[in-house]
Amino acid sequence: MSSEETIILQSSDEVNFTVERSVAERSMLIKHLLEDLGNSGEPIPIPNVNEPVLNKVIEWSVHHKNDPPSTDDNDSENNRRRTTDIDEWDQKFMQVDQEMLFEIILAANYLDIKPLLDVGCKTVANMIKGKSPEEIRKTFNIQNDFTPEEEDQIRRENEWAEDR
Amino acid sequence: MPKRRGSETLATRPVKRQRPAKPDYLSSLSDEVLLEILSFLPISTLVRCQRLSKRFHDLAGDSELWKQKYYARWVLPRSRQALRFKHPIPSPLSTSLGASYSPRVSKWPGHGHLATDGKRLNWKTQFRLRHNWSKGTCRFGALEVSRPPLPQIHMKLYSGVVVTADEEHGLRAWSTKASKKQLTALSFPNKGDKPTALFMTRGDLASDIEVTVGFEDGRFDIYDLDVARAKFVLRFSQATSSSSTEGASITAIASSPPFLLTISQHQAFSLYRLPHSAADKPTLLASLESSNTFAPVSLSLRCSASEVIASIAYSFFHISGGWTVGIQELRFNQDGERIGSRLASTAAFQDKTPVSSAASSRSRSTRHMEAPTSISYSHPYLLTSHNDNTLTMYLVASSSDKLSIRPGRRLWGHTSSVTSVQVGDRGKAVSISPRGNEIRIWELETAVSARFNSSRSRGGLQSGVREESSVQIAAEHAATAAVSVETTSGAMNWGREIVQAEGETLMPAKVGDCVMFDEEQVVVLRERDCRAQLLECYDFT
Repeated sequence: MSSEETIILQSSDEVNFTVERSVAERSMLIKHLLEDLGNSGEPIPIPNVNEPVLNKVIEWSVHHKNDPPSTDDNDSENNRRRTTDIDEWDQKFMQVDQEMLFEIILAANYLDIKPLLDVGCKTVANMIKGKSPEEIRKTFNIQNDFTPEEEDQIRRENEWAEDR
Repeated sequence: MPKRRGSETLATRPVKRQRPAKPDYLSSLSDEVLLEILSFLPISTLVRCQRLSKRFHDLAGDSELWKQKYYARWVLPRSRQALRFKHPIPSPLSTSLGASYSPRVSKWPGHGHLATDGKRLNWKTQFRLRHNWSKGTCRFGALEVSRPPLPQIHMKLYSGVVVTADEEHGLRAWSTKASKKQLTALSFPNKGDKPTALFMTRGDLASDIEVTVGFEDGRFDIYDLDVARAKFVLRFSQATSSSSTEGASITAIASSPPFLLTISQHQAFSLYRLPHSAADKPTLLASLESSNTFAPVSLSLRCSASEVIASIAYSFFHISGGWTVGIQELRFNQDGERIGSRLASTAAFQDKTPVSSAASSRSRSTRHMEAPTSISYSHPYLLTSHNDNTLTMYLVASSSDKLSIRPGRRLWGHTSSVTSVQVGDRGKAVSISPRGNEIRIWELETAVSARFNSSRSRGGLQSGVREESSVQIAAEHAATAAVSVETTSGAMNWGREIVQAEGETLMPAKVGDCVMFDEEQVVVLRERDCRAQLLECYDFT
């Protein structure tokens, strides 16, 4: 299988990427699209994803093209839940600025690439972990719409769950 | 925007990079993706996220999210454990071994009671409740229920309602839920009616609780407690009917509507079927007299689709084994015809104990030369409490063709004599040592598997179950001498201030069950130096 079938993906800013079908099929959205419509050889437009982001997504997909297909059953769901460990390559891959990180998450969500979405979500979860609310707000520029009294009330209600 | 001080040290670096109006990328994500991110966070961080903003408050408090957390924390480990060790109890565990998350709670082992049809559970609340039980964390409230002359008070707790019965005050009911107030009271029909046994169970209507009171003269009364309307209604009063039980006071009652089981002072058991209408009399289905059982006894009644099993767990002195436990099971079909009766005791295997060192050390470990102080049985767990600071746990195996009691295991953890133990129907037990005011909560399933652990790792020589399967109740403020609590609005409500005098001891009441628990609370009936009787409520919500 030296000459694998290729797919052309087109970013929202109309840049074309030619990739192996197995790489493109990391995206469930594209996989189902190809299954339903076949590969016409025409570029497939990805309207919500711009060139730099699509480039990153493809980089990830190439690296992970030989991963075993993600199982849909809930068992893997549970194993996944327990840990925010990310493999080394993915960690490096995710060393991007916040804007890109969230663009990748949005793209993975839109293209339905569950393992990439997980890596993105875990990365964000790791940025939240171990921080105080104020630190989390600073990290992500979240606007606090509670009064100090309200916030204190919530803190007291949740005291039971603080560091065990 | 005013900045709060205190956590500034770590935050100095980001400030430098901060540009005006830096976008909040995180909040631009959809709820769906945010929930996905939150699902990776540990509980301690999740609750912190609730303080970020109103939107995060709702998302991080999402019931479905907490349901998954609940599953991962409380259900999955049990399923795993069941996989690792062949579970000795035939239970749904062995069938749902996939150990995979199912949104259907009815498939979770041991959680059938939380599979409420239609009713939405707040899973964060459930998580906290479970968490507090596991840590022994609770709020404390107390209530004075009598002054001298102190009558003998019988107490039961069912589904957030405590009922007491005594000669002087008749029946009284208190809510242990948020309102924590006395619901109602009702005097007994005749002057001088002296209650000797009490039982509570679900009533006919969802809101009703059925309360059965046994009396010194051998009669029993059934009351319906309407919780919403805070009212006791006497459904009927059963006169002493059978000649054999004439005049013998009822010492214990168990009920599983429409069946009712009583035991009298003379060890006479009677099984009744209760009629649907109050006008009819209960039908006596069976009676049985025994000559060799001794108090304490524990009655239980369980109904399956095809049969009713009435069981009496008791303790007796066996010449070769000391005090041992026995169970008599009477099996009836739904029409009340007796299918069979069978007996099992731990004496049987003690007789047959082979003379191997490991086995004999095991049997010696559960040999008691003193009668247990209390006994409680809720299938499949049978527990006895002892003066030697321990409890003994037995597993009862009951199938269509066999009844047996497995060798007992000591439960260690108390530091003084244990006077009372109560087993609940979800593998939990609560026990009390009056000295040092020690109340312990036991996770019996953990105790069962701990037993497997220890016998494997230490070659079967270590026969006790150590503290890891139990936790001591640590109520806020309960350790201090003066306990002040939320309300002080008089004797009708929980939460009166108890000022404990120097050297004064609060002893658990000497009668019957002085410690009871339901899903959310532990209630203890105590006597305070002959000057008052108190109900203490430990609230885990």
